[in-house]
Amino acid sequence: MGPLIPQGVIDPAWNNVFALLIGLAFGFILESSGFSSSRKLAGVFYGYDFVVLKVFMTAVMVCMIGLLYFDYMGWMKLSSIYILPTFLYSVIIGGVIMGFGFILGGYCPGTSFCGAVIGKIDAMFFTVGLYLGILFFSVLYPVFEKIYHAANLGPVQVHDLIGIPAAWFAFAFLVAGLIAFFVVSKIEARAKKVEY
Amino acid sequence: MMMKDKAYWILAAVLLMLGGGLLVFSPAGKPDELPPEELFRAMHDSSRFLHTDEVTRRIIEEDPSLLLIDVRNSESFRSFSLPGAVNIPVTDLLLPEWEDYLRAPGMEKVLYSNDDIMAGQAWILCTRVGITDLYIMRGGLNLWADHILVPEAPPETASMELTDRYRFRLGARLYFTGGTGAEVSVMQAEPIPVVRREKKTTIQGGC
Repeated sequence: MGPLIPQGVIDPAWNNVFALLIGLAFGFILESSGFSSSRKLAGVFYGYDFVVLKVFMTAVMVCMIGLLYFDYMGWMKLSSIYILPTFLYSVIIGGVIMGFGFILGGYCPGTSFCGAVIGKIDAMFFTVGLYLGILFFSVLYPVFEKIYHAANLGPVQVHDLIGIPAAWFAFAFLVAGLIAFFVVSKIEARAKKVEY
Repeated sequence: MMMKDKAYWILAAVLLMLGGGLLVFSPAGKPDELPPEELFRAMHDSSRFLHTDEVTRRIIEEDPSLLLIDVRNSESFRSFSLPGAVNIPVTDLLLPEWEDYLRAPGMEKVLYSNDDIMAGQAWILCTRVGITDLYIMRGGLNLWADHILVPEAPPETASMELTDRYRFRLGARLYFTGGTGAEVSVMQAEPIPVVRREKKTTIQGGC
């Protein structure tokens, strides 16, 4: 049946309407999870607040199980979902830059907009930096182009790479996630409380 | 603290149950699909073709392991088809409702269309999703009609084998057309004048 728009169940003209609604919902949930505070977000690196890990891991686990059940029920074939190709070097280098940016600025791109719209000045500076970064990358694109497209693994999935069924990988991921939640709750309990 | 948080344990249990459910429901995770190399090899194996005589013999013998599948559209199927055939148009072949027919254990599925082409496509589609015991009636219904409905008499010097085959086909024709058993002459007999009885128009009796 799904995905609804590519399968023609819903007219593609609705694309932007859905994007707006999902965007609003995403922003609302980020804000209500406390993601508009850079101190809360940076807590994951200093060990006093793991809300980032908990929220994102939960989102991933719910989405993963949901999609696998949808596929099993025949409501939405997993094979019809677009999977981004993996450019290995881009992912590693981009990940490192993003990680440093996250520690230094206390935001990731989405949460910085979240903070900026509720009036956080640091978040506004962060978004300016974000656009400067985009400009910098665009102008110097010819320099980066080669490494940007290097080591293209195609649309790989971890379970295919290690050769186990998707369901087993999903279950292992669930268990790992639940253990991670338990461990970080222990770390949080020991850390000094931070007021923000 | 999360340890004492009841919600954490409840939600963790729900997630684990859902995850465990996935393991139970879809052990393979993916439907069986024949790797391209094996499909390629299977396509070069001509044993998937059955001769029209062989199919005919098995229809007449009412072979219980024979499942005839007509892959043409339903209109063609209604106008003419082989006795006992199931109509699964090639466009609907992989719908779940036909799964029971196509994966029936111990049955030899014989696909046919008017010629080899559509049946060949159906064969590839089915073989690719792992359906086995699949055959194609070579030449389709056109060749079947040539062989069985209008069999060509072998020359008088023909081998015993050819003569036997011709006799078999004549017999089969009787089976399918419900003839009288007499040799059908190519020459048409004199048209028999149709004598119409006059209808009685007068109303008899009454109340």
